[in-house]
Amino acid sequence: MPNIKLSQPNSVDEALSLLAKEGDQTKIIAGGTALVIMLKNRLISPSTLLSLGGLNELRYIRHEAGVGLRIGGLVTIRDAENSSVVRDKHPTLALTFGKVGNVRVRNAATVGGNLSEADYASDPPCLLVALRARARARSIRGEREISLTDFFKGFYETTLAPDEILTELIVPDLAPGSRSAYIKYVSRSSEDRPCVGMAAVLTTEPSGACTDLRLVAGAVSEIPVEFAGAGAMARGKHLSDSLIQEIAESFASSVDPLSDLRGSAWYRKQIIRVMARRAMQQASGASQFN
Amino acid sequence: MATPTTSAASIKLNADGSLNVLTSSVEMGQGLKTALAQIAASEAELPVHRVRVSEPDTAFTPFDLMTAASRATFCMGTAIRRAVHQVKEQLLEAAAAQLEAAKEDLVLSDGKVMVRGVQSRSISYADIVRLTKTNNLLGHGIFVAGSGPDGSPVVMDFETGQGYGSAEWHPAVVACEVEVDTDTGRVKVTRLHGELYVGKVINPRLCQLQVEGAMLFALGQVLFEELSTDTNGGITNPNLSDYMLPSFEDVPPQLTVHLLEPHGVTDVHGIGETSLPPVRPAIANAICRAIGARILDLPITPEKVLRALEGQRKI
Repeated sequence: MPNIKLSQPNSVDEALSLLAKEGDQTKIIAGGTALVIMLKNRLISPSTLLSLGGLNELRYIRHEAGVGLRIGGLVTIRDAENSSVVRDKHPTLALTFGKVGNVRVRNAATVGGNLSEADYASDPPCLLVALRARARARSIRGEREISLTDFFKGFYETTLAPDEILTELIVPDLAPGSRSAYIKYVSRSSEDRPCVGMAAVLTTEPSGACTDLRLVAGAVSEIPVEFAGAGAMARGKHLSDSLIQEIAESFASSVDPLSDLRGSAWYRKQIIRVMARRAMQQASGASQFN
Repeated sequence: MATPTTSAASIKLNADGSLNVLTSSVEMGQGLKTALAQIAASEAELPVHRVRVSEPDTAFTPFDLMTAASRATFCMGTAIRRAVHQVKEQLLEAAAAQLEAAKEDLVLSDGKVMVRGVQSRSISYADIVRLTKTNNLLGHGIFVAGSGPDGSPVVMDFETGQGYGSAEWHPAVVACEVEVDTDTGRVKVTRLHGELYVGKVINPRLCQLQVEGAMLFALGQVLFEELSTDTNGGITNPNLSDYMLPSFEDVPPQLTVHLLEPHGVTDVHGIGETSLPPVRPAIANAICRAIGARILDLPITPEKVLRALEGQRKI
């Protein structure tokens, strides 16, 4: 990797002003687990790498009443997976972070990097869309929050502007009576990236009647795909086996999945149906996790 | 084992009585340096910690065809034994003069030459090397595979690929149990057992581990490994993120190996790949027994299994 300048700012403000000056030829590097592979394969050739490694102010995980979980962008996926706060407030999210790559990757990769990379075959984005999480982005122009439902644009493409850094992930608390589930389905080695990821968030009344249902599939398209009809099909009803089957069928038939080495479009359609069913079953209580 | 085949080794017995093996065979995690040191130590009647095996440097170390095809322990091991034999002859010649005994009455044991039955009349290898004033004793050994398992000449027709491909047979049997998720077609190998003829075992633990490695290698070929090419023949998955090998989670919960080593057997056998080929039909047969459909092209992906299951559901 010849002739690449490395900038190592020590604060977010310094990083933002460097980024604003350097412009398009700069790539941000945090854990480097994705970026270094892209460099080695010569998919990108930036003139400058802006390392966020010194921004210790972005390494925090806390919970705030009325806001939810706040995870600094530089927190490693491993730390998020093992955090007692994350495990307490969003056990499914902790488990999902634990499904990324392998432990060596998770020790280096960061929560902010994972979202900013926007790899279509990644686990956290799918669940975080279902949880209605938000990303906080900063630039010298100011700060804004982006709902993850609007954050992903296409393959490796987000709504982040070139001068913006993802500084924080905010995951709101689940509504009372809600349970979530995430399934990573791999079609090859157990360490493969998902062929299909499936997140379900289910909210029920004490009577058992469903008040809301969200289903999001990952790795089947350029960006996470939410089944828009899920809530309407489930609302006011008990999530019976036949209703689960009906929703799963509708979701699968509504998606036009991509084909890659992990499975053809036809295969992914079958798997979306199966995993949507299993995720709803897990969320509705058959599973040990909420 | 590939044929024709040639391995050469040089041995240097040092002035301190330790032994160096010069070889071009490659240690790649299979434990070859350990096995070759054991062979040299055993032949030279030395403790194994007194033997050092070189790294390969083909500019200086003697010729070896390759470290592949389950051949290194057998072929290089034989060359080393022959090289050590030359050194032993020199030891016996020199010791016979020093101990005033006939060569036939001398025995080698634990780095010493002694008169048979007379413990007190002995001389260490180090003392012999010093007495010869050469400061080291050298030996060379070459192994060239000459005949096939039935004694007929090893002849391979490279045009047709016909003929003897090996100087020895490598018999193995593999049995397995699989679980198939009939919703997704995903296969989990739950039990895998290899039973193979190994001849004389040099190092039981390394032998066991190498056989396990061969079986996991084959498991990857059956279930995961697939080269993908574009229309120009370029490989589109030339990395371990896109080209899949098994991970630890894919290792069958029950993975067992039994080594068949007949009592009193002396011939050393290559075992690197013996248990590899039968893993493929064993897993394929188990999947066939589980789902009632036979899948003939590897790897047996979940998609192929699901398509086979769908085909049956339609009947």
